[in-house]
Amino acid sequence: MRLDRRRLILILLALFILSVTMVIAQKQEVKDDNIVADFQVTDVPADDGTGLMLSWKPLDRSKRIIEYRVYRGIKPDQLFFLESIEVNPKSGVASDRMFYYDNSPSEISDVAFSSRIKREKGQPDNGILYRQPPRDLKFTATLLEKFQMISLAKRSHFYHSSQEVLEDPEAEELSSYAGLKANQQTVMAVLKPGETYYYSVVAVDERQRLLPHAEVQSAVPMPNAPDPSPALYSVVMDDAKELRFEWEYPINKSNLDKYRIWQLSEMPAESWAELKANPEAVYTRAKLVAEGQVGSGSLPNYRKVEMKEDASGYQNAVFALQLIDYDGKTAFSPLSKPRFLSKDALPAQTKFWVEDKPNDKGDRLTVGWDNPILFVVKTTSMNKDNSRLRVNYQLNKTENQKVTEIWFTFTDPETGEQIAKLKEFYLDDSMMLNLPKGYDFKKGLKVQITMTGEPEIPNDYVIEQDLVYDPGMMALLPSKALYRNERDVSKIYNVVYRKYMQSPAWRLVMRNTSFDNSLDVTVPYGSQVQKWVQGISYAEGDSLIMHIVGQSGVERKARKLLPDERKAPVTLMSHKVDFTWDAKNEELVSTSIFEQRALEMHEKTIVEAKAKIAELTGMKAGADQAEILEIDAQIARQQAILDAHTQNEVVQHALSAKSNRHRVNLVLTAYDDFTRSQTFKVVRTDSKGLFIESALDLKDDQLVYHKPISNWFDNNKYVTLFTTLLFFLVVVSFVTLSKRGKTFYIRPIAGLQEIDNAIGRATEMGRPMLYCMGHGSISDVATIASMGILSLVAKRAAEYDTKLIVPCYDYIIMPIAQEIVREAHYAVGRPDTYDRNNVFYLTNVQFAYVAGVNGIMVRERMATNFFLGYFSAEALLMTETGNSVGAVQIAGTDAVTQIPFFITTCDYTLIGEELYAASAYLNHEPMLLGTLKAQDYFKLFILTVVIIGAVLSSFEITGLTTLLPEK
Amino acid sequence: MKKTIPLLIVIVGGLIWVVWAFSPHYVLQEVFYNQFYLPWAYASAPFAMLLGVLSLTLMHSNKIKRRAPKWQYSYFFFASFVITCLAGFIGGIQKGGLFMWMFENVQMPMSATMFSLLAFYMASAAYKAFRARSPEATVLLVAAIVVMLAQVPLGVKLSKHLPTISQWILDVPNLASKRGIMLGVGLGSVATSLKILLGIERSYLGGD
Repeated sequence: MRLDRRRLILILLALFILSVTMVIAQKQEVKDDNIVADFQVTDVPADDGTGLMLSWKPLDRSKRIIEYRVYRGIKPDQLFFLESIEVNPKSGVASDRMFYYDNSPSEISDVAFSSRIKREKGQPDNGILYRQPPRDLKFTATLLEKFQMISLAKRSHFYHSSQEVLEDPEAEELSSYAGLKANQQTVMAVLKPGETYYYSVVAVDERQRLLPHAEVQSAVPMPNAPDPSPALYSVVMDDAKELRFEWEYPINKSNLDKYRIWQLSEMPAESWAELKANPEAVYTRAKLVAEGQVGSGSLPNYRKVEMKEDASGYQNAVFALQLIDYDGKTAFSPLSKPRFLSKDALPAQTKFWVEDKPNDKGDRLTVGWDNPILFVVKTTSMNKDNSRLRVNYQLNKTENQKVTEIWFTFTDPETGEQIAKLKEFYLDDSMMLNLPKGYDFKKGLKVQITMTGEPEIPNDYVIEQDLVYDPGMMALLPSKALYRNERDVSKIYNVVYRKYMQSPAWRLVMRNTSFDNSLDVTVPYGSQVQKWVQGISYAEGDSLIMHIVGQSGVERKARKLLPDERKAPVTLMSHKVDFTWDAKNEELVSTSIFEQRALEMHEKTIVEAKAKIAELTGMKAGADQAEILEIDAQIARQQAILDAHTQNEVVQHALSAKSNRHRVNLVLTAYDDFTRSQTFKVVRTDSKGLFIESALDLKDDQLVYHKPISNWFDNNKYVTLFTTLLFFLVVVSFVTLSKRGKTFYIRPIAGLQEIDNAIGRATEMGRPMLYCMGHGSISDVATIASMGILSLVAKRAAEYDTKLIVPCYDYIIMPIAQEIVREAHYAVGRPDTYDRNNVFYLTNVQFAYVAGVNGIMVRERMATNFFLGYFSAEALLMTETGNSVGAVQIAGTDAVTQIPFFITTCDYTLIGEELYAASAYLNHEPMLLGTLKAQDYFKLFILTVVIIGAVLSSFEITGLTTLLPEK
Repeated sequence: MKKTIPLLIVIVGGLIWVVWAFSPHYVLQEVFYNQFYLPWAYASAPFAMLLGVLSLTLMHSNKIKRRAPKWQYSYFFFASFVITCLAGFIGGIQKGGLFMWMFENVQMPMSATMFSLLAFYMASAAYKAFRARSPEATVLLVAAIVVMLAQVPLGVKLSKHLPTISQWILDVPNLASKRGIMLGVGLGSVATSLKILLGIERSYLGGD
């Protein structure tokens, strides 16, 4: 068949239609595939109604997705970027569904956000996706109805820069707020129960394209009943006449308020499941044993109750734990059958101590409760027949505890025969163990560990472990058990609680295993203030508009702007702050950040306390004895409030402050003082009802509160300081000697001697020279040393009228280099030959710099190259190019990795410290030569210390080694 | 006076850092360093960068004016400078923008190209270094061959002791000489710092 023109057109037409159809079909397919499928938004179960759970089916790995972006809004046609979840495009998402929980505060206004509403990249004009909400409090005010908001501001902003906003300046009782501008804070938003929120998810591929968004979904967060406690453990301790309870909290515990422990008669699990569905029925059938606070799971999870009947009375009893959340919703735990045990089963009481963490800025305390704990972590076979093992161990101790020597006794677990006894005098967490010939490695080992140290470690303090063969790892690994004086303590926990001055509650710090003997507790310095946003105000014309959050929603109010009142939109927050804890009267004193309000608050508290005392005193007449006692207690409480406000020295001092700034500073100091003080207790427990509290930290029957100390000197640096001072003295001595005319011999350094010849060569050839200071910054010693040499090279170049090109890597170094070269030209009387364009900034991108320098070398056909300073991978690239253009090259660096490259490709190389010595060497200035000599002698001193240390360590004398700092 | 005041600033500033190095106190580590020094350094760095940009602009505009050799290339500087600035200022520097696209697709591949040249230069440098011209160079050659062979399966096939010997070379003579250099560098750094603190070394002030 002949392919005539008509047929060709037909074929081409058919091909065109086919390709168009394919492209459209493919595009349709791509479009469908790229949308996140099965996107759902549901309420988070067992929460307080402030959380929603988003879930969706992730796109296929072939789509090369790098992140999923979540968008949220209060209406379906305007969703703002909330957060992105990064995904590895190579591996994709392993699970079938992806989840995102919107149940914590999220940023809704921040200084980093744009001030205007911006559509998301690639969104059409009618698109619904936007970038973050704008940093515009007028806009934020429109969201107040739908979110609870929290302001997070720097302390200095809140305390010193807040402006006072009065709701109604003419009202008899002023309602005042602290106002902060948008750029002084970050506003965080929390979902409100019962409100509707809209969401969508967008996948972003490796080409940074935002794929089409998932269909918008909405949901309403609602408060739910809490999850039940997974387990309650009960113990009947007849000899102590006590019932002991310990329980576990569910994962979601932030909304838990109270607990109740109920006693019931034994029943099948099905009956209990039926009964607990109706709490009222439980209340009628069960006996309340104990109740208390949960504090969102931070309060103690154990309780001791006096027995009301004999142990026999509990034979058929079971117990249940009821958890109650802040909304009054409840959940019951499974039933717990008590264990009948005696006091002997209790773990030993913990004796703990609190010490300041040394050498820190004052933000850590150490709670210790045991001697140092040492255990084997793993063993590694060092040869084929497994007769030589490297044993790695870990030593846990506080910074004030010292361990000097450790003995490891290895025994055969089957026969109990001693295999080896090793003494570890240099504690490097590792040692070698040689097993006897023929010992079956797979039998395992038993290791017994004893140690000496300070404070004195008792001789009978023994730790034991079983090292068992692990076929998977093909090594001896420690079993889970840890024996301390023959008792397995691996399932015993030491739980640390702390209490602040102003609160009666003990709060959980951390649960520690028996492998730890101490806990570092962080006590941070206050740097931020967190306050609920009570409203937002802004000016409109000559009115001040205020959106105030009230009980029944957000109320819009307006009033005339006061003269000099600022117009910028602000968030409104409480101006009241905690001030000080009056320990004598056990009263927390509050104040205001505004002087006038602070005085009013102070006066009002005093007047109210006095009035209350007068009223209560009047009520005493005609009251019976019991009522009088009750009234006296109330009077005492009011008197304490009055005394705290009228007699407390800190309060009086602040009241008499010269200015409000001074007063606020005093308030902050007093606030830090009591909020950073805390007392501790340690509870030792098996987690199943056998717990024992440590004695409280008391002095004269008063709790001792600890506050970390900020240390002025790091004790680990005494040796460093001493050595530095010694070196300083040596330098000063040699400088003085050289000033007095003493001459020192300095060995010749070829690279430096050849500088003149290299410059001369460039002059003779009439070609320029290149001076490269590497990519170090001004803070690098190599760069500073290089500047010294540049000064000399520039002088010679100016004398001989040879062009010197200095391309700079760092823009901070460039003006200094320009100044050095300019000075050099002036110094030799050739200011006319100075061209500042020869000393220029090139780039601070490593390989772009190489490309630039290489280009200059080739174009200008350099006669001499100097590479002096700090160099990395670019060194060889530049010197090889220099070599190829036939330049004489002199290099010098303190970067050990680059020295070999310089040696192979350059004519002369200054190795390490020779670079630093160059300036002194070339100047022949006595003072600089003196420092060189001092360096040499100090090196001799260090070498002597190294040799003595090595010899002493060989004889197990480690004093010198441990004296020197490790880093 | 022109030299004395900068010298005083350097000495006082240097002493502050000496105290900072030895003291973990809150006032020095938090108030001075985190709250004062770091924000100040971040704020002042862009001004120094402006100097660098000005220098580069001046140099290239002079080249064009004077019709210096290869002056045409200077237009590339201005073109890329303007395009990059516009891309950054208008489109932002986040992922997905033109700025980041240019960074990832222009600058990164070019940097990688330069870096890859290192392999060839290394081979050429190694050739120069390993020529057995002297006893020292012969020792270097032998050591290099042992270490290189131990890195590849062939070396282990040749002798099972090769990896041990190679590791010994790296751990003992190599590490010893490295530490020797580092010791000198450390002392040299301290000495240079002392020289600056005492006002003996003044080259960084420009001239002198």
